[in-house]
Amino acid sequence: MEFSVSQIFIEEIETKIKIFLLVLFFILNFLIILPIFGFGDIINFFVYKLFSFVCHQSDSLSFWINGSKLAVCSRCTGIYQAFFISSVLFYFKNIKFQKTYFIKILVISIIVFIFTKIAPFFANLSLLNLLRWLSGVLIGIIFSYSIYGNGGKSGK
Amino acid sequence: METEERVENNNLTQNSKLYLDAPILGGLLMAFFSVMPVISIFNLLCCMWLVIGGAVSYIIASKKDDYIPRSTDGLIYGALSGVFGWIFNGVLTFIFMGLKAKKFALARERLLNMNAPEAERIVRLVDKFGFKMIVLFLSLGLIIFYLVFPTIGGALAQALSGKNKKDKVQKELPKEEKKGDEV
Repeated sequence: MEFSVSQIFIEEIETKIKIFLLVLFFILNFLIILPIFGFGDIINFFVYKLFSFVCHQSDSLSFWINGSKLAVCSRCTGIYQAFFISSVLFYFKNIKFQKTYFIKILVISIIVFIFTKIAPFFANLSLLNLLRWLSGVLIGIIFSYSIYGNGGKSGK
Repeated sequence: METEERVENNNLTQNSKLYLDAPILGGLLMAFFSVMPVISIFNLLCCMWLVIGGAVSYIIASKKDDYIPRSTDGLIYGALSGVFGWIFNGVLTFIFMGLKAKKFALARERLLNMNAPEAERIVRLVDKFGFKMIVLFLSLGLIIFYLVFPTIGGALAQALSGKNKKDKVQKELPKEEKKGDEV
């Protein structure tokens, strides 16, 4: 099964997908912090249930604000926040993709990820959550670099 | 400079193929593994199955014999596989729900027998909306993840494969033009 499409159409779709992803990640970041506003049980139930598909939502490994747990764990919070912020930066800065940078960030994030697995043996939980958040931030940057790294709003 | 502009214009107006079987296969893969019990737990690792599904759809498309490279393929095949994956996920979820209706009823009874206020609250919420409606709402809500993570997966696969498609096409075109001039 195949379709014939023009390159102009592909370029338009690329730009639209990039903008759409920015909007989606803005919504996701909003949904993550929604439980802290205390809109009620029903909304909280749906938000937690929705994010349970992608996150373990462990009490001890999540950030708590005003006595309410965020919808995802500290690492996922880092991923969503970093993806949104770095995507906005990459999109408007028109950064060119360089594989060496990509590999470097990837290696650093893997090292931090492994460190977060070892850290519980000698660090307290509050520090561990910050480390997990940092590893999430690096993963988020990698995700956004792979998408927005090959050009910003012009797609070139 | 003029040649570059002409090459750019040629690239923009030329038609290229978009394979649909690749995103369908990627979507089927991510939906199947996301719905399957036990295996679906890997989705807790940055939506692993969704990212893999998007990456697989790009890889399948790039392995085709008549595949013309483009810089946007990872994004497009990833996003398309996400849409198909979401549709398959909805269908498979309802099939699994039908198969496990008895188990869900048992789980509801167990929750009620626990005498825990939190568990009772959940059961009351489920009873209020109806189990099928809740599953439907959640399945609809999952589109947000099915649009985001497979797209990331496709883009990641392309970034790791290290092929800058646009450059290749642009380098190849002047040769064809030269040939045309010679004739």
